[in-house]
Amino acid sequence: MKIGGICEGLILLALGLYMGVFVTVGDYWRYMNPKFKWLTGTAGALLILMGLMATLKPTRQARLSRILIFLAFMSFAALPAFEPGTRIGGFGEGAPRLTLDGEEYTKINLGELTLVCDEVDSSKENDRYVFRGMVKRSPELDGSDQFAVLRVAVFCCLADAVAMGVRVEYERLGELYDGQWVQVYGTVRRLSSEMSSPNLRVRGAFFTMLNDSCVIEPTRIVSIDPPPIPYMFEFREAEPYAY
Amino acid sequence: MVDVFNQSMQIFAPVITAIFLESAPFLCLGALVSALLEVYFPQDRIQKYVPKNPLHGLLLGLSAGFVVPTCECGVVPIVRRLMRKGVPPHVAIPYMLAAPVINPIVLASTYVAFRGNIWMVLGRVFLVALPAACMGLALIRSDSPSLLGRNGDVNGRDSESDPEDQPRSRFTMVLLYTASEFLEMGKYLILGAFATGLFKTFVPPEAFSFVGSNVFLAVGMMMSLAILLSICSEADAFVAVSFTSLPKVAQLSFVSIGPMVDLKLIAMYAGTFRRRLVLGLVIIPILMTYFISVMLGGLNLG
Repeated sequence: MKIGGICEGLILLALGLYMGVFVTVGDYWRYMNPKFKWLTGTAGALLILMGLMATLKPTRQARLSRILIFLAFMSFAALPAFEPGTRIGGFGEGAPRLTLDGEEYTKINLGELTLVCDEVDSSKENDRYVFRGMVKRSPELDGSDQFAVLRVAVFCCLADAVAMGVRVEYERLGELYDGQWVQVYGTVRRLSSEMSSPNLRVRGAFFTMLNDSCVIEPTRIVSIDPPPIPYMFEFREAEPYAY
Repeated sequence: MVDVFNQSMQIFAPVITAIFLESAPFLCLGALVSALLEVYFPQDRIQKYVPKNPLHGLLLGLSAGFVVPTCECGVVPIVRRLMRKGVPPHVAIPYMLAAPVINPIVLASTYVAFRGNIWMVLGRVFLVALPAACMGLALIRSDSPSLLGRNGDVNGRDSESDPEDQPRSRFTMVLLYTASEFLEMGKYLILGAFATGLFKTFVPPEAFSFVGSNVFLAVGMMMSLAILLSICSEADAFVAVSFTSLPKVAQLSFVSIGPMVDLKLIAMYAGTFRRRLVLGLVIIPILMTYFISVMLGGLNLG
């Protein structure tokens, strides 16, 4: 019977079309780092080609188990919200620095700031940075008059997502709540000894990496709307940072 | 109950979709290479390139990733095809284990992730090459047909896509073989992704927060995470680095075991090879990676 072969061909065709549409109009960034769009698109094109051939010239050796497993997967792949049109902006958009009260602050994302914190010494402790992320509080941090600012980093795909962030010293913690997005202007100060990491969990990331060697002394904390693309995909070692 | 289900689906569905989207291009590439081998390279032509000396063959397998780099998802169909074409297991299996790590792309990403620490790169190569070489040595007296599973006959032809009565062009055959290979390996990829998705949805990360700096526990925990999370070999170094409170050898064990053994790979091995080889592919790398990592930690080398 060739019906099974035709089914398998149609499955490949559907997968290829799904990947093609996903790359062009879907929210690709929700699952994958956008730098891999070309790879997914190429695979989608190959799957379409394979699917057409397998549908037009079906083999007799199709397997029911393969068909069922792929159909099950496709039913789950169709579940997540599919909101077209959320275009991802260029990284490091705009000027590399912001001015606040006459002082320049370097725009940087939390992944890049984590790298800076690991390398900071006394010569860099007065460098000013501005970054954005999500507030995360915990009893351990509250006890030190600190809160965490975290953001999810996606290196390849959602499966390897890591929430990265820093500690911020702040006495008026009552003004902040979990999940609030903030833009923080401040300087980095090295801690005299590493602090123990509290258990923090961010939706979308299985791991959380909170820099324990430095703390941010804020000049200003501004509440902001969540950015359209909350994840970080690019990390640079020097200015202009991806922010 | 409905809320719990919805919340679980909001984690589970995107995770398995992401794993599939990430792996699918490499699986396509592996399936395509496998198909090209089947259509354009008869058995005697491939075997000309296999060194007669088994140790040379082993070295070829360990280093071939530099010439034919591929990630762990794409390498299994290629190796299956090579073994069907008579490439001996002491060449093919080390290639399968080593190529996802010992290639320029992954070594470069490892170097970047560990901020230029060349010892982590070399350590990763060492921890992958050693089990791969041991598997190769263990298989020197074995032949490929005795190690392959039920799919495909031993003469090298893919029984799933034998040509129909009418002749077909090579282009058509390549596409059909690629499709068949993708579907066959893809089903195991999906099963592995389902397992990883269940783990990430229902196991809290706090379950792994107890280890502290104990080398035995840290290495064991990191290896378990690597196996359960099925992260690709290009990104796992960046994830490993995020465990700043753990010993370096624990991070090293994470990036070494993952490309050789994880849930996706276990499913693909089970669908490709016979049970005794599958057990060897899982147990030997795990044991060797664990004991060597712990030893390095005990020597304060990481």
